[in-house]
Amino acid sequence: MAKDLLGELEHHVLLALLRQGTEGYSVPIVLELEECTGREVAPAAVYIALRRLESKGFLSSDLRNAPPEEGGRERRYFTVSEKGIQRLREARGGFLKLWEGLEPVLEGER
Amino acid sequence: MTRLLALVLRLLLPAVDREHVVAELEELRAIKARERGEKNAEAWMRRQEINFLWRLLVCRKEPPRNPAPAVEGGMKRRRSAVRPPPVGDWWHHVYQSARILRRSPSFLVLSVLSLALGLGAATSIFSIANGVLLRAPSFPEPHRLVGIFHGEMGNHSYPNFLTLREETSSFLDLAAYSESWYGENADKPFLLEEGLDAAPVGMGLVSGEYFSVLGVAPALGRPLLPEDNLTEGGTPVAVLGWSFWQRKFGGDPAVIGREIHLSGTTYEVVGVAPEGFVGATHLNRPDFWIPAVMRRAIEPPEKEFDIVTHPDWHWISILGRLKPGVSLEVAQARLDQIVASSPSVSEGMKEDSVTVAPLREATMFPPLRERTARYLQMLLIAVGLLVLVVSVNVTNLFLGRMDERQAEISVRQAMGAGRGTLARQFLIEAGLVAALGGAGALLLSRWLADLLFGLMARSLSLSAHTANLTPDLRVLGFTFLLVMASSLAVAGAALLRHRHGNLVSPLMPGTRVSERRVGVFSLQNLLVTAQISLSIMLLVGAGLMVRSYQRLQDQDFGLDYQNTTVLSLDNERIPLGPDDGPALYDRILERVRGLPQVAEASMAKVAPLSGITWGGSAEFEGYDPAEGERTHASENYVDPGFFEMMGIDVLQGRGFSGADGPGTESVVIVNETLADRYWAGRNPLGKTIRWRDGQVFRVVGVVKDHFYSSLRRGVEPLTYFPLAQQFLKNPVILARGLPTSQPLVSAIRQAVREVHPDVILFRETTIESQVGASASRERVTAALLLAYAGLALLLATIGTYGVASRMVVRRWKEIGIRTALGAQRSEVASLVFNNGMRVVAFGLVTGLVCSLAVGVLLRSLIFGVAPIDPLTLAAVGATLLVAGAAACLVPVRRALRADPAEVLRGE
Repeated sequence: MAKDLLGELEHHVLLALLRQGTEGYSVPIVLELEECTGREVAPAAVYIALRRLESKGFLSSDLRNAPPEEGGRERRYFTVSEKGIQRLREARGGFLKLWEGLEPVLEGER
Repeated sequence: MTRLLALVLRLLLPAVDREHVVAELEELRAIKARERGEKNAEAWMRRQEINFLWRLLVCRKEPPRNPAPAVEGGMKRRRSAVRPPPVGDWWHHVYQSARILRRSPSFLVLSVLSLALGLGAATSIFSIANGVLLRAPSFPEPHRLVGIFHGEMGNHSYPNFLTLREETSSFLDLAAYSESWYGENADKPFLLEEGLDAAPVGMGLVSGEYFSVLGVAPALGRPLLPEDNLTEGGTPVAVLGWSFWQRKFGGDPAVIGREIHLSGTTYEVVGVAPEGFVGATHLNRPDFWIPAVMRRAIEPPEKEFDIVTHPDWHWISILGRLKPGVSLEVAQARLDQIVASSPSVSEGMKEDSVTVAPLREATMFPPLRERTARYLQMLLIAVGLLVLVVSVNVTNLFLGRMDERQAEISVRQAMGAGRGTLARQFLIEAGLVAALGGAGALLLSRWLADLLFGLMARSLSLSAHTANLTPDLRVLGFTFLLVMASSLAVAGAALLRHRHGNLVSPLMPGTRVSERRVGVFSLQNLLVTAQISLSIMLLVGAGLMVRSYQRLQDQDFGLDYQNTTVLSLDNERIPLGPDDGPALYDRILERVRGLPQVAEASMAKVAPLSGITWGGSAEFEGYDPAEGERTHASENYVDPGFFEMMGIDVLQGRGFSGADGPGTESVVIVNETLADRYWAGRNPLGKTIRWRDGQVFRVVGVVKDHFYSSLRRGVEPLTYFPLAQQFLKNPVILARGLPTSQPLVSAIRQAVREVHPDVILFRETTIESQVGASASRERVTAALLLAYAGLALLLATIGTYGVASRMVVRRWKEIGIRTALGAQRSEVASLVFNNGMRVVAFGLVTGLVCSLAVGVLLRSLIFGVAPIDPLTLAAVGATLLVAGAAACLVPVRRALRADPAEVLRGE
């Protein structure tokens, strides 16, 4: 079953990728994660997570060159697969169930 | 370093990911640079690259190179995340080795750490040797830059330079420079004057061709130019050194055109040298470069001739840039011809000829170069020993691990792995460990080299800022060679050990691999013996240096030097002669002695133990020098209070008095050593000394022997002249304070200025700190060797522990049976103890024999100790025995705890 589980970083990376639109590459993902978590995110960690997600079938990727106005160098673009969306959906459902009734705890209204 | 990291990263990334990962990292870096500045982005990049390397090497879950199609079901699915690469691929072996290594983190950490320390120590010393002696100067086309000596290694006069520059055709141009004599620590430095303050600064006196010959363009403004060479009056312009510009002016570009005051002359700042440019030599980092012809500005007004135009005043060095295609030999031949035939070449140069040498050699005075090379060689040998100890240690760890993996290796062999396959596996494993250690060593050495050079530069008479210690290809190659050598050694030992690999027994249930009986001369025991011997050599070296340092410090200097402040005076620019000078000194001393903070004060030309020596040849009445003997004496010029203040007893005759002034008979006081050498058995009083300038002095007193210039030179034949009679400029004030809270130096500074506003007090120190500096080389060497020896001893102790504890494991059953049969505790203990100590004893004997060579190697550095010093040898031997015994304690205790019932039940 380990193959289908989503680690925390993998989960974050998938979400950050989805926020880019239909496809994205590592740089905006790193920036998005830093923006959202407020912490420095290591590109190496994102790289590993992306490749792992790909091996689990949650992503697909292809190598293309960036548009000339962005330097034209090689990039690997990732797209979330149907299976990835499905897994996210399940995860979200699970989380929401667990969270049910717990909001007051977080807001300090015990 | 970032470039190196990037290179390694590219190598380690899978080929399909190489380009885009690097491009994406750089893109992020650019974003970080915009957000947080270039410097932070640089640090971020380095962090990320290290992070990447770490993840790729050690803690990665191998990402597939070609994304595996999602395979459903069973066993296959579990494995697919870790895709086995094609068999036979070297990468596969590397990957596999990394996985194997990851399984024993303590082995990995221990061996990488000790390799990093050992190789790091070696790399840092090599970086220093490289930066100081080997590295081509960082100028454009450095191979075409040469220095030209007068004779074998001498300086030139300025007119000689002009002649050579005029007549030679082999060079694009020649430039004159003088940088080593005007450092801020010089005897007579240039002073930067700001209001009433004056601080010594480092100067380069160079001709206008200097910057263009070196190929150095200024960061700001203009360089010095040939038109600044005008001898008539000179051009008072200056180029600032980059770091001085940053330090003093905060990098303000408006500095161009500003006026600065250097030793009484006002200069206009016309340019700033580029960052990293520290001059042509290693000896001094100039804060300013001024035209060489400005040398006249620091000469006293009463000087009769002009040094710049004097044909026999040799004070500048020459460097040149060879024309393309002209070799060193051709340039030398053509110069020889010019010197021999040209009528305008001075007689002196015709006699001595000239020598052309590569700039790297020419910018370091040959004897200094030789001394530095010898010293660094010695340190390289010491770190070489350390590297050996470390390699042996890693080999031992590796062999120990092989014992644990015996079953695995046997399985491999049983399944058909040949010796070649095993050798490759060992080599890759050892190589990975060594490469990690080497990478650690490079990182460590960056920091260590700076630290060590900072410590030793002063004692080598080098400037700590001038050598470029950043690793270049040569340093990387050196470390790479060490890494290769140590991995080959480790893998070789592993293979050797496996020569008689037993296929069957490790696979039989119930057999312990390690039960094989191993003789005293097993490979591991031999290795530990070697480790101990090498540690002993290092310890003996360290011991000799420590003893030398003690001996230097513990000498009786014959001087009352405690608590004595030395203040250097500059009165160069006041027109003073023998008539009015002494009176000025008297007034200054009187004022200083009158200060409430001052207990005693005196004046001398040379402060005791300052490392400076004045002296020369002289004739001593009634002494017949042997054939070829040079009769000479050191000299000092002092006021009458000097002997009493420094606690130097007058043994015969009298000291100086106020009556010994201009117009009275020229008198001299000598020390015992001089009197014994030249007038042994006779009364020295009343004898005369004819000094080299023809002046004759009558001996009026003999003082007790004491140290003059340095701890190493100790007592030497010494003459004292009254400062009032033989007037000299720029003396030092020696002052001893009362225990008051008021600051001594500022009070004296104030007092001196009140006596005469143009007398400048520019440097203060204490004799005690000069004594410390005088022994700094011994101290640094002792500390370094102690550190190396300590590390080696630690590793050797661990090795000994390994020997004893392996023995306990190996003979566990035997120990149990012996105990069951009623062996005494002491018998069991001595069984283990003797086994460990036998190795120590072997190592001790061979080590002590080998260490006889250490004394010979250190002969030029040690002081007051014989190269074979019984005390040192005994102390080292004792240390080693204690360390060895301590290492055996834990295994002994383990053996004593062996429960016979338990052991036998296991059978």
